[in-house]
Amino acid sequence: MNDTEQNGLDGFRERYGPDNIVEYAPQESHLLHESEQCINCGLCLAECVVLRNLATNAMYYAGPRSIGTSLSRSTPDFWATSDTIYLCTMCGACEAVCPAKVPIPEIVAMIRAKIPRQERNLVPRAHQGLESNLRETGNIYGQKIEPFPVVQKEPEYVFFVGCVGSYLERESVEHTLQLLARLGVNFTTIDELCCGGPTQVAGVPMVDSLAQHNLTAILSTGTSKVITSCPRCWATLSQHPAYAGKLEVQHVTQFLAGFDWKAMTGRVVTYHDPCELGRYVGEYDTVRAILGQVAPHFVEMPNSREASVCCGAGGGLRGVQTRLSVQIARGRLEEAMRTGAEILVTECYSCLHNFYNARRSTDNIELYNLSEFLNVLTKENAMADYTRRV
Amino acid sequence: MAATMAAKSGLGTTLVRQGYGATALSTGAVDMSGVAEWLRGIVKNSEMAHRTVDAAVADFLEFMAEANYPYAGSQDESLTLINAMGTVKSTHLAPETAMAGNLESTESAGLLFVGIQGYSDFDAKYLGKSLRFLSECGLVRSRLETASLEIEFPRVAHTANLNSFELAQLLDDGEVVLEMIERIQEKADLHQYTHLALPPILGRDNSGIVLAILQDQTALPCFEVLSLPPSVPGLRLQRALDRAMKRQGVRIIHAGVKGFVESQGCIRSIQAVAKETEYELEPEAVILATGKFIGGGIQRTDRLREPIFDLPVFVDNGYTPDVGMGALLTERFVSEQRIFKAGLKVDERFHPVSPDGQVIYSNLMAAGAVLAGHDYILGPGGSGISVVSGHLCAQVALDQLGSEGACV
Repeated sequence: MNDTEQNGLDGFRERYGPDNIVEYAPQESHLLHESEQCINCGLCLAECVVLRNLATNAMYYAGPRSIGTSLSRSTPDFWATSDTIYLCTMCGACEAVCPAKVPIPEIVAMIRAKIPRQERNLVPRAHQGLESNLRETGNIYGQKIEPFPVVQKEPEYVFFVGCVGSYLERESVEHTLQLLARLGVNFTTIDELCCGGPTQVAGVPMVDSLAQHNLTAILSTGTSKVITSCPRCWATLSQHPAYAGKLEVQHVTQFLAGFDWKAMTGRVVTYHDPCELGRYVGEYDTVRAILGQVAPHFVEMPNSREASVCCGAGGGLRGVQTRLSVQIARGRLEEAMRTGAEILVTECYSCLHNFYNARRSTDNIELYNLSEFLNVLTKENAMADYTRRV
Repeated sequence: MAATMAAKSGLGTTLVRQGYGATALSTGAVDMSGVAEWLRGIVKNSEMAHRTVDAAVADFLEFMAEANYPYAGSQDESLTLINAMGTVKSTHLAPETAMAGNLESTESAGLLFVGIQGYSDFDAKYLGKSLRFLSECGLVRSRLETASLEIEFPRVAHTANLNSFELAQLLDDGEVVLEMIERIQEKADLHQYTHLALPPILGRDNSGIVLAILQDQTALPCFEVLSLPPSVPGLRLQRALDRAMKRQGVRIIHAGVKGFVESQGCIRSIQAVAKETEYELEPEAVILATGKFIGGGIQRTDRLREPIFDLPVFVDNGYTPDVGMGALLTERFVSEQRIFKAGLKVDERFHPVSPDGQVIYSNLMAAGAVLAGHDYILGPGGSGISVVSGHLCAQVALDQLGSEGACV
C-alpha cells in the first residue's frame, strides 16, 4: 500500500512537500499548458515597461519571454524566479502582442502563489505583510481607515471605495461621491473592508472573511447593485468566487456613461487606460465616449487603448520597487505632456496616485479620475440638468 | 495591407486581430521576386498581374511614407542587403534605414561594422569577415573591404543580455545617438571607411531622426543590417502598418474570432471575444489574412487546419487532408519543407475553394501567408505576396460590393 492509499492526500503532501512537489488546480495546469505555447519570439520584450525602464538600471530583469519559456516550466524551482516574478507589473502588454496569446499575468500570479509554499522568505516584505494586514485590519495598509459618511437607508446602489481610494486618494473619492449626489443617484457607502483582490496580485490566499463581511454589508442595505472606481475591486466583486456572483457591479465610468453630458471645457485633455480596465476586460470606449462629449479638445497619447503603457503601480511593484514604479509613471506622464494635454484623466486610484508621485512642481498638467474631473467641471459650469438615459 | 487598402477605397473596414503575427518578427524587407508570376498563375491574366503588382507597391510605399516610416525600392530592381547572419539577402523594398547598405548601388565599399558589448544578435567581427569572404569569392557584386569594432553602449548598466528593443528605445533619444557616435569615433578613424554598418536597432520610434543624426555627424552613409527575430525593423513595420490603418479610418478590434454564422454560401456574422467583451460583426465581405503558423492562420494538430472557417488546407495545389507530417518535412534543414507551402487554395478572385474547385463562401477572400503555394522562406515573394494579395482582395471586395453585391 502506498502513501496515498494509506493516508490520502494529506499523507502525500506530508511526504512530498519537502521536495517542493506542489499540487495544481485544474486551472493552474491549464495555465502551464498555455505557457508552453510560447514560441520564444521575443515580441513581448518590446512592450515590457519594466524592461524598458531597467536598461539603464543595475537591477536585472529577465522579462516576460523568460517567464513564458523557462521560469514557468519547473515547479520545484519556482522560488528561483523571485527576482523576476515580483518585478512584473502584470500589465498584460506582453500578452496583447503575443502571437501565441500566452497569459503572462496569470502565470505570474500562479507562480507568486506557489513561492510562499517553497521559500517564504523570498516573498518581498511588501507582500509578506499583506495577509496579516488584511486579517488584522481589513485593509492592505494595516491602518485604521475612516469610512466615508454617506449613509442612505434604502439605496439603489452601494458605492464601494476600495483601499487605495480610502487611504491614499480621499479627495478624489469625495469628488466622486459629490458627483453622484449631484446627479441624484440614490447611493450609500458602507463600512467596507478590502475586496480581497490584492491577494491575487501578491500570491497570498484569499481572506474569505473579507468577502463575507462585504457581502453582508452590501446586501443588508437592500440592494445588490454596486458602483466602484477601482478596476480591481470591480473585477473582484463581480468575478471572484468568494462573491459568488451575488452582486451586480458596474465600474463608475460605465455608470456615468448612462448620462448625457455636454461640452464643459476647452482645455486639452488626454486619457490613460488603466491596465485592469483596458487590457484585462477590453473597456476602452466608455470613457472616451464621455470625454468626447465634455472635452472637445481630447487627444490620444501615442500609446493608448490596447497599446497603453502601465502607470508602474500594477502587480504590487509600487510596494516592491517604489523608485522603479515612479520612474515608470514619470515616463507615462511625460508621454501625456508631450501631447500638449493640460489634463490627464484616468479612472483608477492606483494609477492616479502613482501619477501624483511622479508629477513635479514644474509640470504643467493636472491629474484627475474621470468622475472627479466631471464633478469639478459640473461645479464650474453650474450644472444644469443631467438626465440619465434609460 | 488589405484593411488599409479597403478603407482607402472607401469601404467601412474593421480589423479583428489577436496579438501580432509574423510581420512584426520579419526583417522588415519586402521581397517581390516571383510575385508577378505567382499572381499571374492565379488570376490567369498577365497584364492584370503586372498592373496589380505596380499599384500594390505604389500604395505600400505611400502608406509607409504617410506613417512616417518611409520605404524605398521598387519591384523591378533588386536590392542586396546584408543581414545579421553575415550573408546577403536579395530583396526589393526596404526601410530607408537599410538603404545605404544596398550592395547593388556600389562598385566598392569600405564597411565598418560596429558591434555592441553584451548584445549578441550582431557579431561585428564575424560580419566583417563573412562579408569580406563573400566579396573575395565573387558572391556579391561589390568589392568590399571590411573592419569591425565593438563599443560599450552608452547609459546601459549591463554588458550582458542586452536586447534589441531596449537599445533601440535608448537611441530614440538624440543625446544617446551622439554619445554612441562619440564612442565610435574614439575607436576608429571614420575617414578610412565609406559606410558605417550598424545593428538593426536605430530607434524604435524615431528611426528617421536617428539615421539623420548618424549620417550628419559621421559624414558617412550609415545603415542597419537586416535583423534576426526579435526584430526592431519588423516591429517598426508592424506599428507603421497600424498607423496607416488608423489614418485610413480602420477600426481595430483586439479580439479572437470565436464563431461565425453562414447561410446560402455567405458569411453573415462574425463573433469575436476579447476578455470580457464580445463583438458581433455583420460584414458584407470578409478578408482572411491570418498568416500561417506564427499568425495562427494555419494550425497543425493531427492534421493541418484553418481554425476560423475550417477551410480545406492544401499543400501546393494538392488537397491532402490525411497526409502525415512526415511527408511534408525533410530531414535536411536547408531543403524545401513542403509544410511551409500549406494554405488555402483560391480562385482568380481570391475566394477560397473546396477540393473540387467550388467557391466556399462568396463573400470570403484570403490574402497573405495563409495562401497555399508559396514558401515565406524560399519564395516566391515573402511579404510581397501579402502586399499584393491584400491589395487585390480589397479591390475584389470593392468591386463585389459596388456592383454585384456578393451576398444580399
